[in-house]
Amino acid sequence: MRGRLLYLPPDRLEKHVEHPRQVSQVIAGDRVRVRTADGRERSFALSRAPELEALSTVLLAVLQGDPEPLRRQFEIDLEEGEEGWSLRLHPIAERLAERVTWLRLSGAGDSIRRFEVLLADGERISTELDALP
Amino acid sequence: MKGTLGALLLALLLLAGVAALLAQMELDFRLDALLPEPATAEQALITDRLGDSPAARMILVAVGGSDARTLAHASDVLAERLPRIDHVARVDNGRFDLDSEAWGPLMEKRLFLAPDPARLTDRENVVRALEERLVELSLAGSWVEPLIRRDPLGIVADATQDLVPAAAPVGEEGLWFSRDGRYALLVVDTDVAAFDLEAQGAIVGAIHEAFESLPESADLELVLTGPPVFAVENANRARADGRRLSLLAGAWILLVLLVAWRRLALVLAGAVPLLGGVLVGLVALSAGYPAIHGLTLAFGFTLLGVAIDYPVHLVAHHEGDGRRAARRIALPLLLGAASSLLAYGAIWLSTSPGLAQLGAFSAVGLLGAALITLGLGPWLPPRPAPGPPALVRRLVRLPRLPWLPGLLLLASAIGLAAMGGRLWSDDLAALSPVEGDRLALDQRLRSELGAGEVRYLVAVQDRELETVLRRTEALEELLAEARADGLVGSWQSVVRLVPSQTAQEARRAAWPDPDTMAHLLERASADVGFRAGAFEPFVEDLRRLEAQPPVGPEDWRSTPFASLVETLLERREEGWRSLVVLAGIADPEALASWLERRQAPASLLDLKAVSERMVRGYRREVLASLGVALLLIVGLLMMRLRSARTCWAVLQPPLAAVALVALLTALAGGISIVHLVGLILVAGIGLDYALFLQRLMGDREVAARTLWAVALCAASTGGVFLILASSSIGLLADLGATASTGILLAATLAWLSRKDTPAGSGPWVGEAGR
Repeated sequence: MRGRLLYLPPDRLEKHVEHPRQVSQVIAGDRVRVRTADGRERSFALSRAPELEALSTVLLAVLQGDPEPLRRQFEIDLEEGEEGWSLRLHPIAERLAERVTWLRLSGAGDSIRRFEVLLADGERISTELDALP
Repeated sequence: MKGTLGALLLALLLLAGVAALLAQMELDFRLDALLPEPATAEQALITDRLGDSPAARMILVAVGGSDARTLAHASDVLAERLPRIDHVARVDNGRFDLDSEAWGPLMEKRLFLAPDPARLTDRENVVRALEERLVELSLAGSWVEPLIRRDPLGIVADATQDLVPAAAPVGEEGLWFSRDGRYALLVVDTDVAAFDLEAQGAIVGAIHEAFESLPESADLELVLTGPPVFAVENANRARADGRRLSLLAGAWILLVLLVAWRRLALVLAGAVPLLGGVLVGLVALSAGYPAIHGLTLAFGFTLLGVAIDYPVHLVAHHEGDGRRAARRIALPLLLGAASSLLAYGAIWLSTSPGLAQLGAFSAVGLLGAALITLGLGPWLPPRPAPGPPALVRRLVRLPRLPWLPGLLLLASAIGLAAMGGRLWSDDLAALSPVEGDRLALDQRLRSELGAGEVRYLVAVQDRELETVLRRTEALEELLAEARADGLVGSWQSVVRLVPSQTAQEARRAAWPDPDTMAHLLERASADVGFRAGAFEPFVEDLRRLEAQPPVGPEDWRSTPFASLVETLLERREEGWRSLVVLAGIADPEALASWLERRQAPASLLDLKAVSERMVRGYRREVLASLGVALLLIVGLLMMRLRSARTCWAVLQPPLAAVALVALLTALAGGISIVHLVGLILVAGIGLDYALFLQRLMGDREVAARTLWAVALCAASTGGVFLILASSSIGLLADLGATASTGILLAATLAWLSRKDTPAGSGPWVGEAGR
């Protein structure tokens, strides 16, 4: 799948998927809203999807430059190599740990390149990010 | 002193009787009390909606006063808390929840609800559906996985999409907002009738409580509308108003009579016919009707206020011998009462339950009061009542203007004729005790929500449910074509949730066999990137389809769709009725004729037009019976007065007053049935005045006493109706304004055209005639 990820300060994340179908997702507050190209909109509580909750916490913390929420909710391993850096986050809260094994954020310098989530059932979701052209 | 005590005892006894009867009476505060019985199936649609229907059980909650985000939060909290209130069946704030309980029953029935299984399972569509699911999965997270595994084709999502109110404006926060963005909107479905005041009052109170418990409620504004809210408000207002107005009116009458008669015994004696009339009226009501309309009673009491006129006449002519006074006033009093009886009898025949009760109560009550007044004569204390003051005696000597009522009548009649079609108010809302602006807000919000506000619809009716559903399906097909032509925007119909058995069997047959489906899904999964066997739960459901019973209306009971199904599909005495509610119609006539050309199974209804027709029919019915009553009254007068000239002289002042007030009312916005009731009242009272001022004018002394009585009547009754005009209930205020203007006018006209009195003393015409 391909699309764009937008951050609208202070706390709103939008993901616009363009392929294979146009669908956009807005995470704001404690709700997730999903809107399809034909204008249908559905929403659900963010707490329903712990992986999304984790993802938005991490992304927002990094984008807002505030490491505090991360320290509270995750055990953090930082690895730095020649290629760049990589943050591996293990959830502390049991509720989240049941569903998400770890999240990994990697990048070089001040940009995030890749975002990975390993779910407890072994499924792995990976998001690669390019800077806006 | 003995007389005072006796009168006091009798009055207290009667008062206790009235209170006892009222206490055991079951009052009904239905909002449709004054509406006529529906004459056609279309009209039944309207009265049903105001009576007990799901639409009438709905409360609309609007939260305003802050920015969209705060309002959205408040709306979400309320949507979570309000369902905990007793008798609240469902709360909806437009949040389209993927995690909603609504999905369960839809998931269960989805294979029967998908309109076109063959198209859905066409290879291209399957691939597209799986691609959509893949995106959903990535965006919504792993918790939707079980849903997707059971419903890879997205049938449930499609179905719910169709069920969301068509016109619902979804605001920035994904919730229902009013179009101007000022209010977040919630719909609360209750499962008790709108006029079940106790239950609805508790619900309304609990909604207020829930709102006040919001931390931000101090800055927010809560607006509740909808029939249950109106019914509760209306009953509260009726009670408060009833107390206030009857105290004021009672105090006013007491004041007028005390000032005029200066004797408590006489005032108490005067109260006896009034209370007696109320008592027999109430007895007649409880004997004749199982439940009494609260509105009727409020109206009825005021109409009976007229009964105070009878003892006023009696006492005014009491010169020491009560028996003689009763004899003197008997003819005009009985003629007047009989005429009123005929007029209220005509109203009694109305098909509107509230109006019929009003007629019954007033007719019986007035007759009772008149007879009690005449019977009261011999019991009056022998001391003569104070005679008329000097001012009244001077008034008798003022010049008459006997031509004035005739001239006014002619002028008003010409004015009325010139008004033509604008004479009447055809607005059904004018018959509802709900304030106009509250009703307007309710209608605006409902139309914005597309919820319950219905103007255009098609009703399909038949004895058999299956026939109704099949015709509704045929209609939907036509509507889809009409939509393509831009004739209609959207619609809601029950066949999305309850398809006909025929359609369901066709769908059952149209699903591919499970193995073919499994194969199809395998291939598409490989293309899109799902793993093999991911959709086995769906294939399993398909395997069970053969044995699954089709969906019927009862399957939706106790699901979130219950009220929708109940609104759109009703079981009636004579079978079933399905409603297709249309929205987005730019040119109703074009759509109506289009549907007719295509031989649609039922035609387009404009409820506004239907309701206006209904009001017109209602008015014609009331006018026709009043016409008959008028003829009977003229006949009665001719019989007793034996002179066309006297008859005409008696009729002119009340007719002129009625015509002039009717003209003023028509100019102020149209005459409604309530105004008509007020005009009948004016006619009856005016006729009384004219009868007395034409028939009881034998010499200066009698004439002065008659005029004195009429002046007191006009002051007391006119004053009571002026007090009523200050009611916060629009209907009562209308009645009060119409009646008080008319009464004062009729009294003035009757005085100006009074019978000429010879200067010397002579026999009383009233007595000599007997």
